[in-house]
Amino acid sequence: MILNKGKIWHIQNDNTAYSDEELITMIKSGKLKADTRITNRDLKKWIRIKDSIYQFYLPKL
Amino acid sequence: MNYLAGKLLKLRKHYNYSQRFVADVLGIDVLEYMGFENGRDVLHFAQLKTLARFYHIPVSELFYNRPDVTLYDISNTHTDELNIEYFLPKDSKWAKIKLFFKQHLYWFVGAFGVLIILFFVLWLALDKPDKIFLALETQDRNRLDASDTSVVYIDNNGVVKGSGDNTNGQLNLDYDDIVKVEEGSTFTVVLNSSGQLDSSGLMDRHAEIIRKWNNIVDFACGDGHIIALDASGKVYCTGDNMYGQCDFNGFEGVKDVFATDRGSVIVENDGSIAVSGEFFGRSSLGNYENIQDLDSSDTLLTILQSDGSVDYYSSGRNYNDVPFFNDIVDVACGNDFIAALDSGGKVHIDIDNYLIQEEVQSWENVIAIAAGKDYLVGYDGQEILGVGKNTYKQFEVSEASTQYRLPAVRNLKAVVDGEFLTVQFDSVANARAYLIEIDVGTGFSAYVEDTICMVDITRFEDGRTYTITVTALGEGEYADSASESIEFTYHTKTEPEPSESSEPTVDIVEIPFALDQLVGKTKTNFEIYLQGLGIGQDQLTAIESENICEGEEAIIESVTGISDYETVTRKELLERKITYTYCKVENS
Repeated sequence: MILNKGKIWHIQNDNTAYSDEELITMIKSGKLKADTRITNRDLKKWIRIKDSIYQFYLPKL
Repeated sequence: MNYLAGKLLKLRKHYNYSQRFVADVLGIDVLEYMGFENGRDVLHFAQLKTLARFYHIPVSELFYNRPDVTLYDISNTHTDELNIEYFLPKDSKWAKIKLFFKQHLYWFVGAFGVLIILFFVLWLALDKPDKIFLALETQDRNRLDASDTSVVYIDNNGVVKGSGDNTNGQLNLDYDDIVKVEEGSTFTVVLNSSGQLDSSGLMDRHAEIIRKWNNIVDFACGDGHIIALDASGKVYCTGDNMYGQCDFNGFEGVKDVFATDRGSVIVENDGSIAVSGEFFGRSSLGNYENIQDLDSSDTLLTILQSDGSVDYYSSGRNYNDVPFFNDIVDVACGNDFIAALDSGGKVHIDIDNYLIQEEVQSWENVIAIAAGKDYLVGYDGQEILGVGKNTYKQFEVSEASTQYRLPAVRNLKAVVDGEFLTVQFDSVANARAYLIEIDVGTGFSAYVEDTICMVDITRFEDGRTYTITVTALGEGEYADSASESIEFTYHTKTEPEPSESSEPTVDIVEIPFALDQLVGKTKTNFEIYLQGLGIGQDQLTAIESENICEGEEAIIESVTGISDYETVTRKELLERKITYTYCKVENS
């Protein structure tokens, strides 16, 4: 499976754009928290990681 | 909770699409898509966009982790072909190829049917031996085998995988396109679709011999021998022949071969059966119309016949009930049980291993079974099911990975060297570290990266015998080795009587050595390293700093008392007080 290599993700208060793969890696490593807000141009608004399907990648306690 | 899985299912069911169809839309394998519907994984954003477009919903409806999703009213039923091309991702060449195949299915089926008929006519016209096609296809019961210490199987891609004891390298398996796999006691043999044999763990001489056999259509392994049959009906055999198990080598006019632990069975073209080797004192197997399969243990021999019935022989034990199995497609036996697999995928147990009998009740859709002396495994095409003793972790074979078990360490020895007991051994390739355990005091254990460990001699009592055990530790595709142990009896050396002679005295000088780089090591490796040097807990002070670690492991930030690459003697090291700081792992 080929991930979208494009830098489509934005993290609130972070000026860098990230690819899908990079975002997932940061979620899995705990660098991004459940309350961190993310978005891309298709979503059009900020969404907390814990409210998205990417909560699946949050480290399990 | 992952609501995406439920939404995917709800959408698909509402529009009456199959999983395969939706997988084609995404350009992925149907098994991968099933993982998304089962909640084992989640789709990535690009895939969500494709599905959102396909289902005419905003991508946010799939990305938000909520249960609700928009379902449109559909008044007509439809087929999977409806509108698929519009929704295919741009790079899904494979999906387009599959679509082309689907749309012209009838032509493909017709052409394939004509080819089959032509091939059949050609086949009838040729004079052929009986077993010409076995090497071209994989029978389910040939996909799984077990020795007393390991399990091997062929996955759905024809790749061989194994788990358990790998002391002999019998699980160093790098084969594909395999149609049959079997194990001897310490080796594995495989047959590929081209009729060639290969092996792992077999003595070089015999490995070379079997590689030279051509057009092999079947083979079987005993504890120490391999018997094979080629397309012309000729038998080959090599390996242990202590019991005459290879006496059939060179025989012709044979249509089937089988092996037990220390024996061989051939079925000749006229249907007669001959045995050689050790069969619990028997010289024949009785009258059988058509043997399909054999399995044996130290105490039992089971025979599967072509009518699906099972017979057995035992050595010394009497059983009250004769096994009553019907419609059987595979058999296996341990030292105290017989297992039979029926065509419905259920496993039946006879004799008196009630633990195994109870556990296999829940097994379903099994396609092959195999047994060691004290365990049974089944394979359902996806995973290995195991019951009984898992002494060598032989049940832990998976589709996801193959693990090679590291060989045990060799040349383990322990020598008193001044104030230390030095434990040393040969290195093991691919080992990341070694675990050393000694039953001294309340127990001693150390992880070392080198092949030497020094233990303070004051821990040992004069005249007492200790067991020293070393295990090579693997990682990734390499599993830990079996443990190697030696006995060591400690004797204090008596001081020599002072001599009045004028012989010169010898001063013992400690040899200094250089420390590793310390800052930057992970905390775990750093502490293992210090322990291996013999530094005691009373010498150490550990402090967690306020700095957050970048990764998932704590890293050493600073060390006082010793420094990177410092040259010290062991005596100096044991007198130091060492303080180290490490970063803080988030959510630790």
